Amino acid sequence: MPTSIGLVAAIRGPVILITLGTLIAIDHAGGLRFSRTWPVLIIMFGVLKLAEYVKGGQQ
Amino acid sequence: MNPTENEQNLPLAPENAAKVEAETPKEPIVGYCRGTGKPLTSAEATYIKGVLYSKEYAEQAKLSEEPASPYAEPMVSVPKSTADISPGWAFVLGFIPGVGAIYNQQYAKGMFHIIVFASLISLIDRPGVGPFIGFLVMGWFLYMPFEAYHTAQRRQRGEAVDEMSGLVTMPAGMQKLPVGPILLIALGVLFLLDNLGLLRIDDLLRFWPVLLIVIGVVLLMQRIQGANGGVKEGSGNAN
Amino acid sequence: MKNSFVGPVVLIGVGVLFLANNLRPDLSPWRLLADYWPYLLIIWGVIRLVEIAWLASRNQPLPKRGVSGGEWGLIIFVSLFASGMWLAYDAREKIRSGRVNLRGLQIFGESFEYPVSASVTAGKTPRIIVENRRGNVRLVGGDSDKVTVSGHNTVMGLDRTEADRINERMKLEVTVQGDQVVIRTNQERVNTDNRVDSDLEVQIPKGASVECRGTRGDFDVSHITGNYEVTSENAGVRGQDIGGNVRVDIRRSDIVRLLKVKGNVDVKASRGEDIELDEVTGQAIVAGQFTGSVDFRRVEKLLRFESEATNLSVEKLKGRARLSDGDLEVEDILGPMKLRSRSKDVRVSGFATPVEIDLNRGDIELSPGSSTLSTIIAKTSSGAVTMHLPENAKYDIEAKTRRGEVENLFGNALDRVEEDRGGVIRGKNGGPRIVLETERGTMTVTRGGTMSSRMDLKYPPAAPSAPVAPAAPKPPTVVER
Repeated sequence: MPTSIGLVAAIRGPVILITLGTLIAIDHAGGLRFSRTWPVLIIMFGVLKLAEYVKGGQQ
Repeated sequence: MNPTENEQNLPLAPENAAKVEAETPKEPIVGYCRGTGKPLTSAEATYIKGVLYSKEYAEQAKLSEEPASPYAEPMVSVPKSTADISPGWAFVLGFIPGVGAIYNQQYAKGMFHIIVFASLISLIDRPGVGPFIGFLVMGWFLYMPFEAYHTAQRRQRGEAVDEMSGLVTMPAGMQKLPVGPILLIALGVLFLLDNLGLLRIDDLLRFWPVLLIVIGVVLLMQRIQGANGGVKEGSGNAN
Repeated sequence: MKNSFVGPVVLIGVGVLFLANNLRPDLSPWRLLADYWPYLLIIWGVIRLVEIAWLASRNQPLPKRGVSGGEWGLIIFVSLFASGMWLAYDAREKIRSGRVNLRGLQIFGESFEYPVSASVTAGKTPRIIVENRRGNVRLVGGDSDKVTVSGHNTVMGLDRTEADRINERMKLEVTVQGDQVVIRTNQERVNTDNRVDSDLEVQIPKGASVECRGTRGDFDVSHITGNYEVTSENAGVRGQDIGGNVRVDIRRSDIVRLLKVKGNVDVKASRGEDIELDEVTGQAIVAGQFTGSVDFRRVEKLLRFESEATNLSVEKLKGRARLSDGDLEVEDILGPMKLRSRSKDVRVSGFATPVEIDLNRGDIELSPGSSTLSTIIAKTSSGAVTMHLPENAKYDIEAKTRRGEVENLFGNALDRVEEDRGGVIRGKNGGPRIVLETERGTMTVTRGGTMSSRMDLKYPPAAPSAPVAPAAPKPPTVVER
């Protein structure tokens, strides 16, 4: 049975990957430089980890 | 992704069998019995502790879902041969930020270690931070190998290790608190604001002694809890 | 996940790339990879996400990690490879087009100038906001009610068409909202690879308040009665005849120069070079590291200077306080002074008010130049202390060195006692307390005149330590960049 905690853990990688791609794409397109936006990755990672804890607590 | 890793915990035969059947319509051979080597169709196959057997053989050999003895119990998320794990190696690799944790197959923790290390390094030449950052970098640099060593030892002993476990045992009240993620988010927000010029980390760093106070308070809480009763002592070092 | 879609999709992608190359040879697959690899990461992630959602919706077991360790390795490899390629293409293109930026200096490329101008009517006391990322802006107050902007954009480019295209994108905007006038050069719209500068000259009503925001470039404001604020990463800041307060918040700067300010001055700079304040009617608070010359003159209220190594506060500076790398010189003060520093040779002259000095290292030379004294406490851990005590002053002095010579050149009114490796000079005639102390160094008490200021004209530095040549007054530097 997939649990919601498993789900959150499983989507962590893909979500980080998409965020990374998006940030670099923004950089290439001439928007905010990746050198400025990289902390978003840390935030995403933290949020996903936090979601895991929250989901874990619900069960 | 290694499929056996998931299947070890859960008897998955029905789903898997169904899936395979869908792909090859007639008399599909889903695998070979571990005991007899006989090719099996989905109807004959069964998974016992993640290993494929024929149903006949399983009955004969009295294999069942119930572990026969405590030694036969499948270990959770621990590789089959613990002999491969070397705490010494973990310690050495631990000096490279994140690598010690990766050696212990704790990728999230490895990333966390790298992020913290990089953040500290990037702050080192800011004016006004004093000796604080230097001590933190040294502290973190030493923490990582010891943590990796400790974790590797526990893995060697076959204990299950939580992915975000650390050396420091939190006081019982805070144990459920997701300190790592909160720290990460805070770090991320700080650096983002700093990068976008909305806030200066330099200004905030002047308040570093607050951290000492916080650590002091946490330690104090720990002491008080320790003094208050042996009841909670068992749960205190369960991590 | 062995049956993931990523593998096949990537394979198809690679196939399409090379097919495109075969059909249209001008499309290099490497070039495409270099340009579009971030989207590859996004697609990769999306496929994984969809797969997991699909598994979850069918209640199938989920993988423990959405993206496995091996995959991360592959992703890192692809990212490094592709971004390396991207950098290579980028560099090649820049070299080819002559847009190579070496230390901010663009070689090959030519610079093209485009005049800009605008004019709006504002009230008598507008609030003017200038947003200019790169370039110098000068604002001058005048009698007109109008805000008149003139100047030019400088665009670096290979040829005029490229420069035209870039210039097109940034448009000078001057908007009025109530009593607020916003002047914006909109350089953000240009790709940062092309260097653009906007230099503006702005006429404003003299009742205006000015707020400047930028990243790199100088701001110069003069003849206004309102406030003056600067926020920038790297800026030279000049101001003259400012009626209100001045607030400067910068990371780096080569010069901060503020003359004739009626209000308060508040300067914050992480890494500055020179700072010069003159005729400040209010108080002045300066915080930051300044590596060049620091020169304060005539600050009527409190002057406070805070850097990592030095903490100086002076009230009512009538003369001048000057700091350089190893020296600090204060002349003519009417209020109390307090100094704490790690390493400075300190000279204070022309004062009748309490003085407190605490040094880790450095010489101290005091010439009150006035027969009415106040409490003086001066301590250094390592360095010579010289006191020019006025002849007819009232005092209660104790000058002590723990290790070093004691010299009494004042006369018999003072007692000189040698103790251990050091010594002490004592004497009192009913005046205020004067405590001088050095852990290691010569202690000298000598006769001083009662002339105010310019002590270095009257008294050649008597200290045995390296005589300090008075720094030549810096010629007013008008730096136009």
